Amino acid sequence: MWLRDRLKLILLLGLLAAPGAALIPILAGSAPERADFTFVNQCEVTSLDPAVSTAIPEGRIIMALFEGLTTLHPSTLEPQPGAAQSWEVSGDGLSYTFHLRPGLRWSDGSPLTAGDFLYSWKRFLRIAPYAYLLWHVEGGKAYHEGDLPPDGRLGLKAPDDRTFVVRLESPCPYFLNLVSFYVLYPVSRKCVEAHETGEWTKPENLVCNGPFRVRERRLKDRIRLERNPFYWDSGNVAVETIDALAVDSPVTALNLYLTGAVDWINVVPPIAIPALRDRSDFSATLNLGTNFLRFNTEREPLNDPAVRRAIHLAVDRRELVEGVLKGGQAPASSFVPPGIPGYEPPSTGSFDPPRARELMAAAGYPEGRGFPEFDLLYSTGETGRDICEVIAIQLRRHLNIRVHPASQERKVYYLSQETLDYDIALCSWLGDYLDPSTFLDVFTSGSGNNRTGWGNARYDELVRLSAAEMSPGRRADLLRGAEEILLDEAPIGVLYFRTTTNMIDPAWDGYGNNILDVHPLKHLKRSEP
Amino acid sequence: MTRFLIRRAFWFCITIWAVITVSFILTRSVKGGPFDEGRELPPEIENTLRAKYNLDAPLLEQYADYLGGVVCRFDLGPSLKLRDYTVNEIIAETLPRSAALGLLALFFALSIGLTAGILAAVRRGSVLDGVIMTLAALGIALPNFMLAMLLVIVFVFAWPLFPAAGWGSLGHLILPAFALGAAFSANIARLARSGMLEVLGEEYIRTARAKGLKESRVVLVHALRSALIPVVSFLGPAAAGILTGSLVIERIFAIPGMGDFFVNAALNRDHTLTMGIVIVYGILVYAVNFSVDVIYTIIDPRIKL
Repeated sequence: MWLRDRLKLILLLGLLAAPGAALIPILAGSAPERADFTFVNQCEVTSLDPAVSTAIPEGRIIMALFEGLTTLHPSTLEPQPGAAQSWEVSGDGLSYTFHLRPGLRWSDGSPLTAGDFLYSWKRFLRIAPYAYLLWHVEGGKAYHEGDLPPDGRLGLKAPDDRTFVVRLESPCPYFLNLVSFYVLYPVSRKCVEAHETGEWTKPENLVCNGPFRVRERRLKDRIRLERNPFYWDSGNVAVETIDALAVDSPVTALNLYLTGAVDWINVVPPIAIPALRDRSDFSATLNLGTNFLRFNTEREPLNDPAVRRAIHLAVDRRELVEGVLKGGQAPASSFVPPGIPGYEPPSTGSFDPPRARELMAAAGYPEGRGFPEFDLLYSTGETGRDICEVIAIQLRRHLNIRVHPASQERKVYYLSQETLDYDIALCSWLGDYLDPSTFLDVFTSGSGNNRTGWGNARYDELVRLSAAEMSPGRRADLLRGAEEILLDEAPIGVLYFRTTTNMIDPAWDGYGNNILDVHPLKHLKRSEP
Repeated sequence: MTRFLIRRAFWFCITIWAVITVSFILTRSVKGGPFDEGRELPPEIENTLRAKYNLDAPLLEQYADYLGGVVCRFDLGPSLKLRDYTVNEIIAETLPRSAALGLLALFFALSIGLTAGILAAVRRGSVLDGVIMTLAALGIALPNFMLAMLLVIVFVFAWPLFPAAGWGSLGHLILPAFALGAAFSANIARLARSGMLEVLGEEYIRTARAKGLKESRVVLVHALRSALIPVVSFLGPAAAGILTGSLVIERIFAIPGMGDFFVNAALNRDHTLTMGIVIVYGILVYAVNFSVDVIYTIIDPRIKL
């Protein structure tokens, strides 16, 4: 009876005490010491395997863990010697011979040889989403499809431990830029083959060749990197430990930065930009990316280039950039953004309502009469919604046509475009490497990234010819010619060039602003006081 | 007692099976798949991936495979998006963190709610009563993310007592747990107050007072037992609410818990991870409700199992 009476009280006390008891073991030993350098890496990375990754957050970590034949200079983005200390290109541009540095090692101490590159690139061709980057290699496409005939040759060879030879089917003027792209970084054959899929990338198993290695990985919390003593240039790496935090929300990231808990954030919430813009630790840099309207050219009357051009000319890009975005973006006058050395993009018409109305009338819709109502598709999010609402207002005002902003969740938004189940969509495209082809390849007839239903034989031909043209001047002309066709026929309506916004604690140096927004962690060091 | 447990175990299996089946159907019915992206995947690669994850097999076969894996091996499958982890690994790492957050939130909810409710009842009609009930109404009306933002403005920026976000110490948990538990503490306060008021008017309380017992003993020993009943029955929905509320709070405070993974898994069409987390939530809610029923019978002798 005594127990029964007290049972309730005991239960109550137990209920209150249990959380305490449960919390302690969970939290014990969980507060790591602050790393030398901490930054926000946006999201939990899909993988640490260079071959299967595609996005920027993965790239940041992989570029710290691994090193390719060449790397990019943090400011000029020129290919620099990485694992390869020198290379020769044959006169016809078809053969690249890379000479690896002597004494290269993996983080488990074993030697890194050309054989590792051979293995990694063959593996890449078999499993990578970016496999098409190596289509240039002789036999690359066939090898990827599993169709290489028994006597067929794959243009990758490792004649000795320090020489890696790549033979191309046709000259690729930007091949060295490609080679710096993180997806082509090598993996250790020994490590990959010793573990089941998905296991070799665990911190206790991962073997890498870059400036850092993984000390610890806590899901959705942080990846802790530490300096890799086996890296050939380890003496010049000035940071011992780096934490990459996986924080999804840009506002939370900003809070962490402003309270001094992190040293670098690479996405600043747009709504906060006007207040932060004048700070010295804030930078908005033009990025190699363009936002544009995608037209479904299989829908009437969007199949008429004059209609598409009219719609494009009726959008006031400056108003979008200055009134809505306010992040330092620039109104776009071409599809390929400026900043690629050796390429001057052509210019499309600027905001011109009278001309737009003329074109619309000539196409059969004077003053917008009879023009169907369309949905303007965007991926759910505030910025997309604001842009689409303003575009809808502009089109109404200048052309008297109605478009309805319609949001779809990201995956559905992609699916709608893949299946050509949309009218007009707000889209963006980011370049992977410093060459116009990363943009212009998108709208060739066969490209799965095209998603407009548009194709032009002359455009395809120019792009194809440019892929084999070795002279930079002639190549730029061919590409410009293709881009002119693209802008003229307007399966897309270019809107603005993207910017990336970063905030980094001024106590740190070695961080360069560039249009690819790559910031190799290897170069970080504290500023001189 | 045994019959009660057997019945509960039986219904547990039925419930979890229903959860698995419905979530399987839902995840497969939604438009968009794990490989739909802004950049196209080369067809060969996509085919290889689909084959690897058995996404090409007829739905019934995929369902049977999945069910078999869960029941026989407790294997929730690989994550379709996070290529380095299996669902079991992800849940094993993130569930304890969400549990810590949830338990602390429940602790706040109970301790603040009970104290406030009892005080308000004992001092009925006074200013204290009015203040507590107003705060309770606010706590229920304010969405938890709004409260979270207010807390950040006050306790992170204006008066820096706590870190802005993250994980690693008790300090990191205080604000999120408070934001998460606030609405429930408000409900518990109101329930405790009304339960207590009802009990305080009973005959046996007057007897206790007439016997000369101390007021605190009257309230805490004799009255509390009955006043707790509505609070306990609220614990079931409270636990469910804390689980769902944690999705937003974890994102705002960058707590590396299961809730945030859940949101991303759904958005990425990571079917296995989504279903795995749904199953875990299902088990948790079932377990909490079961515990509540058991506690009920202990507290109220009128109820038999």
